[in-house]
Amino acid sequence: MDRIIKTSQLLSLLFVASTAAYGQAGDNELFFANQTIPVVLSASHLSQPQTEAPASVTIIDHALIKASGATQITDLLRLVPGMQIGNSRGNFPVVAYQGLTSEFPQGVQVVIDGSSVYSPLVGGTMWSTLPIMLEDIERIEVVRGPNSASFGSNAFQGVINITTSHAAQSPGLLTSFRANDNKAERSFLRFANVTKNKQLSYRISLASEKKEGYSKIPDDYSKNQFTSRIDLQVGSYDTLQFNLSGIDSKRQTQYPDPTSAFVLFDPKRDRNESSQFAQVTWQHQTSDDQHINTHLSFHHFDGKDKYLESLTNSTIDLTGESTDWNFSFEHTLKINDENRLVWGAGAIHESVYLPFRLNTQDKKTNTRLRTFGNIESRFAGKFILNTGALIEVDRLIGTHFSPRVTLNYISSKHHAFRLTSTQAFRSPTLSEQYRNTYLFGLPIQSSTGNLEPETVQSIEAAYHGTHLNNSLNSDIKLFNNRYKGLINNGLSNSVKTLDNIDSARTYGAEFEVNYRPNHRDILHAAYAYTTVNHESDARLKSSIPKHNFSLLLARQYDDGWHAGLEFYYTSSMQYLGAQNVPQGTFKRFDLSIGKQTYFAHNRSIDIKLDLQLALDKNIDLHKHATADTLIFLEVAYRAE
Amino acid sequence: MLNNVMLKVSFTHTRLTLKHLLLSAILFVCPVVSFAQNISIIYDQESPYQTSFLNALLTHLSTSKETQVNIISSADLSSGLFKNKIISTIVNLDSTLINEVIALDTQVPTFHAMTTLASARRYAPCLPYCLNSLPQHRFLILDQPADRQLRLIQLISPRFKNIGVIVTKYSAPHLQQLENFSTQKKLTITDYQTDSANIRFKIDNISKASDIILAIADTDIYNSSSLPQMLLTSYRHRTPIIGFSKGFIKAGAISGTVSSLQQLVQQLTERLLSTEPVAQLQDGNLIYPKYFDVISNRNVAKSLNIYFPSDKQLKQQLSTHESIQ
Repeated sequence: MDRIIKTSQLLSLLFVASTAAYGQAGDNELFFANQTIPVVLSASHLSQPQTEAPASVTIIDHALIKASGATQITDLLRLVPGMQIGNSRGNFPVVAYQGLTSEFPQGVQVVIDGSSVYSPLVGGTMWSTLPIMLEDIERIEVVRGPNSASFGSNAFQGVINITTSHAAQSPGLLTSFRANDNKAERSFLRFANVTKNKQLSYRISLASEKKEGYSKIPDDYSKNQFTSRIDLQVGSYDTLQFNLSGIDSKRQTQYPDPTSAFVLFDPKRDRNESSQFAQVTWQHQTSDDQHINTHLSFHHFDGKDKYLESLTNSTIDLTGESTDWNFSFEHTLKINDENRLVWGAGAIHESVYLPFRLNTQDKKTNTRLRTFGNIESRFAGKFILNTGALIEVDRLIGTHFSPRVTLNYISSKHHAFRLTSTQAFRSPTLSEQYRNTYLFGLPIQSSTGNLEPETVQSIEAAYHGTHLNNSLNSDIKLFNNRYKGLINNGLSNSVKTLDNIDSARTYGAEFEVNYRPNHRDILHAAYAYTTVNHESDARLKSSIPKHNFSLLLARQYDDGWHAGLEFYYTSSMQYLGAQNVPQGTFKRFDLSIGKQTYFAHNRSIDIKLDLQLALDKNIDLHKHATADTLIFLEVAYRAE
Repeated sequence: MLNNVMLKVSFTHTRLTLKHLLLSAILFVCPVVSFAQNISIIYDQESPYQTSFLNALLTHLSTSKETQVNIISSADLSSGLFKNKIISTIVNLDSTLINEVIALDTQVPTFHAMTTLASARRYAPCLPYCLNSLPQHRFLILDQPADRQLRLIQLISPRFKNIGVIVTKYSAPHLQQLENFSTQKKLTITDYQTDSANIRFKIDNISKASDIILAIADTDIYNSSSLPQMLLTSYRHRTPIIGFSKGFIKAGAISGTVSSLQQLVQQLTERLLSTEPVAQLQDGNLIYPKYFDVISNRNVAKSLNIYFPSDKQLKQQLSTHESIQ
């Protein structure tokens, strides 16, 4: 005991001495040391400069997130031109870009803090089990257009890059409760803190929600979720970041048309889904401004769905389980004043268990290795040339190559023009490659077994302008995409063999405006026009809405009041997939109003009312899933 | 009579001329004895920065043969050291000894270097104006002059009109100068007085209320512990920060004027070897850095869509403006 006391005393003395020594040296260290202070706003924390980016990027920052009044993450993406947002079976969020997709959009890569959350189970992202919470998002950058050259094989149509807030950014306690008039409830609790030596900061978030979804289809949903982030400063040049998440949910499901005979094979039942996610990121900065980022992530999903089919009394096992390990390494360095190089490598190992679709109790696995590089060259004072490529070696489909060339012309600090040519590809999922589905002994669907990647060749011309002393940003993009080798997955129930037989050519324009005259007011407007030409299947054309529009106006008043209104419009479309019906236009008007009241000791309460007014039937993939007008009330308490 | 007067003038003139010749001869023979300086430099030998400063200062002073230097370690400082010794100037590099050096009451010009106004005010609360109580003391502070900082902000972007400044009670005197110059330049200074414990709760509102934040050299507010949250929060609201050191700017401030050790040494050397009396210096007891560079973080600037001239051009414009003043 004496030894413990003496050791503790010694440690205390050392701690006091070290802090005292820092206090004396503090001024000089701050002024003259080459690197006492770690680089806080490193490349990974900064949003891309839109005038110099090699692609069109929509930035949904913290202010826009707050102003939007969004009640779920996918609602934020309605602000992006060209995005389609829906909910399959009422509780399975769908996020697609420029159509050509079923309820499992496979062309959009989603990255969280540098790690992909692309699901090998269905291809695409399982938004209902995303390992983050809306309150913890710092920024979302949506790269609109193919970007395999930087993000790999599944950045086929676009990339959604989500950055969570640093754990030190919002210290203290935040708790909220939200409910709507459709019996949906959500409770949220978050605690964040920084340790005394300021080197370790952590955040823990817990949420529990349940909702009943659309009134005419069985789509009840409940979820318990835990996420955490730990940031550790290791010296001046290195930071470590840990992300952990666990989700347990129950999703009610049934064939979406209750009047259809298919309900016998796809009856009402609960699907239990759980997900675990872990990620470690190491960021290293050298004294000569080189950046090295290394990520390692693990993602496991388990969806249990086994039921007795009443007609034949046989068991149908729609269980799906997937595991993927993802490693990536990226090095950014300045070669000289005119040239900058980014290069890296990565490896993905994935496995899936899909007894029904693949007709096997075995797990199927795949491994992909990739390397990529991009050189940014500045010349003649106004031009930036980005030349990059990715090479991916896939155990199942071989080696594939994705190049990109972009020329930016910065005519002045207010105007920039861009021309991009790129080729991207989407690797067939394990489910597609090994498809071998039987029902009651009869073959339903299979695959050729040697599916090739889908490819897209894209040409874009764009303009980005900043006006009115940088308070107004405008972005215009014209695009022409040629898709080849599209897998005929999800077109209709009559598809017997999956094969790369489809093609399409889409072209159109996207326009985005962001106006922030001050810190109080935001105007954001986005519009996309997309049309399909030379499609091989008529359904492909109808899967892309011709017009897509969003408008947001928000204001933060000085006395704590805040208000916003949004309008969303999507013209008629029909998702691919047998169960998805033609949707008429989608029109929704959102209004939010709230007040934040501050109290002593850095406490506050924010009470907010959100109205989602459906202005049309707003069919959501299925004809019985029609949007209701909803009123949300949310109360949030913050103590710092 | 006229001849007598002229003879007297002639004799007087001769006498004066002889006197001058004699004096010149003496001066020619003994120049060192007439113009010698004895400078005592106090420094903390444990501090690598003070050691670097000292070495650089000695190198500069060695060019003057009339200057003798006596180096005193902080640990050895006592009043007895200066008794019965001829000292012309004291240079104190250890800001923690300002109080002790003042207490020596040596009545010789004393320059305190490598300190900020906020740090120095802990020991000399009368600063910046202590000409009555500390007439011989001058503080070569690390803080950049207000005019230079505000001009830099204007050169970066004309849209930065509302400038947020966070101070503690020790750095509050900066506000007066800032407000004087901001009125001329039609800028608005909004000050936030706080302490180190509460800054993290206020940075959110300050960032929202300001077009840009001008960081004052007060390590109670800006230090390696507080900077991460301050930079992240201000960036979240797209409010850049003007930093005051290379490390700060590299961490995420958008730009700043910075004086290196060498530049500070050069300025101090000029002061020490100057024949201008101490009492004629402006700015009260403060001496602001004369030589500086502009350093910018172009990555942060670009991500905020802020484009401005090169660091070299900014420095040139600032220097030209100051030389005209």
